[in-house]
Amino acid sequence: MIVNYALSAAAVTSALAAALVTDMRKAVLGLWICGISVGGLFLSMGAEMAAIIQWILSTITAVTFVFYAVMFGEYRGKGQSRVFWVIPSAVAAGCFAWVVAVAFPERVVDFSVGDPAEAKSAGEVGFAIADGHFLSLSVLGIILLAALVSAGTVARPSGRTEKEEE
Amino acid sequence: MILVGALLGGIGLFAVLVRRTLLGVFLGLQMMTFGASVVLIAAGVATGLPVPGHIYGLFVSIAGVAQLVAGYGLCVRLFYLRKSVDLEEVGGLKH
Repeated sequence: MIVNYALSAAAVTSALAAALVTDMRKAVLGLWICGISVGGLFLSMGAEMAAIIQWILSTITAVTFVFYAVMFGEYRGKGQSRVFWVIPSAVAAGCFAWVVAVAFPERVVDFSVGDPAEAKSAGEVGFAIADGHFLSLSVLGIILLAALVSAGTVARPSGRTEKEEE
Repeated sequence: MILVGALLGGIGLFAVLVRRTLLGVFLGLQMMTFGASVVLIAAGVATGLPVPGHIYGLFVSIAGVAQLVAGYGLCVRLFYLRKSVDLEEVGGLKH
C-alpha cells in the first residue's frame, strides 16, 4: 500500500502548491498533478471507471485553464514570493518522511480501504448507472447541456457595450 | 483515505477564499470536487457498497465540470465588460 501513501502525498502537496502560487502555470500544473494523483487513488480503491474519467477530466480541465489564462492575460504570475514555496516544500518533505520512515509499515493510519484485485469492472458500474440511476444520469446530462448553453448565452457580446466602446 | 479527501476539500476552500481572480476561484472549486469524489468513493468502498460510491463520485466529478463550464462563461462576460477577471471587478457589475 506504499502506492496509496505516495499518491495521497502527491495529491495533497500539489493541491497545496496550486492553492498558494500566484503563477497560473504552476497552479494549473499543481491542479493537473492533483487530479492525476486522485485518479490513481481511485484506481487503487478499485474504482477503475472513476479513475479513467478522473484522468480525462483532469487533463481537459488543465488544458482549458491554460487556454483561458492565456486569453485573460494571466498566464504569467505577477511574481511569486519565495516564502510561499516554504509551505508546500515543508509539506512535501513531511509527507516524504512520513511515507518512508513512519507510515510504510502501515502502523499510523490504515489506508487499505480498497483492493484493486476486487475492482468493479467499468461495465458493471455502467450497467448500474443505466439501470438504477437513469433519471439521475438524464438530469446530469440536462444540467451539462444547460450549463453549456447558458455559458454561451452569458458570454456573448452585447450590442450596447460594443457601441459604448465605439 | 477519507482524510485525504477532506484535506483536498479544505485546501480547495482555502484557495477559493484566498484567490483574487475568478480563474483561481474555479481552480479551488475543482479541488473541492476532487475531495468530494475521493470521500464518496472511499466511503462506498469502506462501507461495502462500492458501486454506489463509484456512481456518486462520478456524478460529483461531472457536475464539477458543469460548474466549470458555466464559470468560464461568466469569466468571458466579465472580461468583456471589465477587461479583467479580478474579483474586485465583480462587485462593480451592479453599477
